[in-house]
Amino acid sequence: MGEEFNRVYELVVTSVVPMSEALLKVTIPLTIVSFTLGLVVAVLTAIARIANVKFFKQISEIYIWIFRGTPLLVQLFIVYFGLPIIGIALDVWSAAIIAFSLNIGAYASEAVRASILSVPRGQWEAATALGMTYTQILRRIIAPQAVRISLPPLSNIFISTLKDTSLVASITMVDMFMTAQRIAARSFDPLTLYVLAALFYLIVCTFLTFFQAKLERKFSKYI
Amino acid sequence: MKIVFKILVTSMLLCIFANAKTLKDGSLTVATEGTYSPFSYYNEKHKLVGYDVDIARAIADELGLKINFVTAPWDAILAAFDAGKADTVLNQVSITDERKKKYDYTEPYTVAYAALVVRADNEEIKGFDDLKGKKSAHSATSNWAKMASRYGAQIVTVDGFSKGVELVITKRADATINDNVTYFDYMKQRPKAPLKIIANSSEPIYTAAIVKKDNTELLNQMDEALKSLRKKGVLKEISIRYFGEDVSE
Repeated sequence: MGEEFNRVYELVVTSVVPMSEALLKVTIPLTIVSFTLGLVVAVLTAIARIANVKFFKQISEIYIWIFRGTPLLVQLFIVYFGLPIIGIALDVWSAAIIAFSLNIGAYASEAVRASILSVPRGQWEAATALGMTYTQILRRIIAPQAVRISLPPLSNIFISTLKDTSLVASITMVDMFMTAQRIAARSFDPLTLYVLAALFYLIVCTFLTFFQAKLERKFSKYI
Repeated sequence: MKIVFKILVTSMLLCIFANAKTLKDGSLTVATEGTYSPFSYYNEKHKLVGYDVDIARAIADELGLKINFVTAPWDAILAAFDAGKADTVLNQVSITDERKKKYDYTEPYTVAYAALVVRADNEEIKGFDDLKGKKSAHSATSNWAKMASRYGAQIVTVDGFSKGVELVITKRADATINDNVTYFDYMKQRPKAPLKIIANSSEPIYTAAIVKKDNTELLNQMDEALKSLRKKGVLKEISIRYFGEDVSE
């Protein structure tokens, strides 16, 4: 038993450094960049649908339909392995960021749209009566409240994204989970490594949950 | 929407210019698994090593090129290679007629024998012919998977050799086929693993690097490099480093 414990302990100690490195260099940056871009796409799509301009509304709906209706892994494969066939050879980071942002954009746009619509109709009317323009109403009245309402669903999407990044190993990217798989392949001890990877994700998600609670308190003053 | 469109277009343009490397810019990009010990794996120092990896490095040295590695699970490697993400693949690619239609092979650098591996307590499977209707664990597109299907086995898909062995040990698969030297290495690492080689194929399987059909120049250069490495005894030296025997011919 002692011998076995020592072996596992050694393995964990030697794995923590490369796994943390991959977490900081790939998993977390990819999550943050994709989520930020995805959010921009989401807000634009949500506004396009609410504003009810026919052409933009249709484009947005087709986009959401495609990206919510196909698996993320398939989207990654099409962007990275498929597009070179028609001459668009993206490097792995661009491919991952594009696929992830578009995927997040489709999901988050629903959350953003619901938050905007959940601000009572009467407030729009009141603001219009005060002589505010459409953009002014959005910025001063609707957005502060919608942000607070959208925090829980958007945090959900952010946390999902962090975990979904484990799919990028299949397009030659070396994220935290791939690092764990490599060590598992060398040491032939998958259980230790996968449990360790799970702990890593769990720790990061715990931090994110705290952060979410903090943000919610901060934005609650607008409601 | 415009901003996003601009971002997309510029990133796409940038990436077209940063297309997959060829021999021209002085580096060789090699695709390999990185999870296939002892051919291609990350050692304790997290450096990519292995029989195939060291041979790739030696080839690049011989040709005076810098080397880059792209790693992916086997089922994604050929997709990556087809999409122009690498110049060549060194990952124990068996030479088969079907693959010859699509790719050019260099000189072979390994002579391998297929080993059929089962759990130590398995009494049912005595040879390849007994695979009929049994579950065999393989990466979907590997040559070993084809071989198992030929004997009528049902394929359980995994992405890499170490996961396949794991399934056999935990009885979620009855058998797996792979290079015999792979198992010797595995048993060295895990002497208590309840596994046994029950049969070896008598026919040798040759493995080589693959290059795109239209890249004859690279093919010829790699062949020259392999010939010269063989002559100098470098291939033998690398083989002995990993297997304690010469599997290069």
